Amino acid sequence: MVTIDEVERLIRERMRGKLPADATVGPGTVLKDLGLSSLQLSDIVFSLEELHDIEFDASKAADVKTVGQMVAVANEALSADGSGDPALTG
Amino acid sequence: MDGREHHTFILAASILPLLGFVAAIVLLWNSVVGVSDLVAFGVMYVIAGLGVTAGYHRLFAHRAFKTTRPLKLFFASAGAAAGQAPPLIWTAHHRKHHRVADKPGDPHSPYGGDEPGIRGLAKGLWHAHMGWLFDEDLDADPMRYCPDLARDKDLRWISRYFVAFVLAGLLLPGLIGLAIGGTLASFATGVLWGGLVRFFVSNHVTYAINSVCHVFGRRRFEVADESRNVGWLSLASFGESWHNNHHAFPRSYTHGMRWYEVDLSAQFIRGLERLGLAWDVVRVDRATMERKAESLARVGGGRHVPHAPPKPLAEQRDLSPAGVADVE
Ligand SMILES: [Zn+2]
Ligand SMILES: [Zn+2]
Repeated sequence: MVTIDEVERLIRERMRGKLPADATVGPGTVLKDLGLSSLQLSDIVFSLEELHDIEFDASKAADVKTVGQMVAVANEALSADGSGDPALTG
Repeated sequence: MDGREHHTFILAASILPLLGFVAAIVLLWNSVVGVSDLVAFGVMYVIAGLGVTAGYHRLFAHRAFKTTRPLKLFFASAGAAAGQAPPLIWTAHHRKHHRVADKPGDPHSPYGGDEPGIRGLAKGLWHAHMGWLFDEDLDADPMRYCPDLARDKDLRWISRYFVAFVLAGLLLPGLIGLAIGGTLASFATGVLWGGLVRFFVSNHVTYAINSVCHVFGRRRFEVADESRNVGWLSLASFGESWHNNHHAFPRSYTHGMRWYEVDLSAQFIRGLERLGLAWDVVRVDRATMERKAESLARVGGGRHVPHAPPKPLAEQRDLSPAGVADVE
């Protein structure tokens, strides 16, 4: 499973400390509002793909606006993958 | 880079090379230009030029050939060192340009304004040349236009650390200067000539493809935009100024389509192919060209021709090169 926490960690990593430590990141958080550029956004999305060895539906990924939507698109790809998340099935 | 950083970068990237250029002219005037400066300029001009034209443009944006990973890394780093934009941003803008060239949505068309006459023309040229880079709302959207490239870890990494590559592009000519001249002064003038002056000249040549090559010049193909072939820019632009040819056949590895249309980037790609370092090179034969020229001439071209833009890559079912045949 891809979680909000994992996405938040990636966001903080890519923004290299520019996101205030006390800024909250939840499912409804709009990605652009955090100050992410479209380049950073694509970096995060396709890093997620690689970390979980999955393939997103590119058009759905391009329409992602919030953290929650990103998590949903990722998990959808995970379940479509069939093999399940190695992190869960060991 | 976020939005504000991007803006600062564009400002610095346009003003510093200009100042360097002026400083270089003064030095030139006082004849204090050494061999090491010219070598630093020449080497860096070729590296940056190949990075942008053979790399960013033909290899990445249009997938005109395939190559090895080391060469891919060279092209992406050399393109980044040219200082125009990170590879994922450059290619996204560029694919968008081809999709709706000279029509609403084109990031750098000289025909966006509504002012008539010579003033409108000048404004349009300026916008297409570099004004568009200062647009506050400019957004490249690599997710939509180049998911295929964003899937490449190397291109993501180089895009992330873009500024470091630009700085390396200033340092390297300094080291060339130092190696030849052996003094700190030769290091400094190496940075000036191979870094700032090269930056200035090579970027304005690229910008001219978007401005000049959509306004002045000859059209062989009546495509649904205003692209033109411009001979006098072909040598300096490594063949990119055969821009009308390119808009007619975007995936072709060569933009020069006659023996007399000089295209150094195409020659470089052919050289790589001969060495076995490039393959699946996209070629268009003469008969196909002529057929297309004729059928386009029958309907007539230009930016007002009704045109259904192809879907952005992310929205296409098939992301393989075959599925994006001629749209990019
Ligand atoms: Zn064009
Ligand atoms: Zn192109």
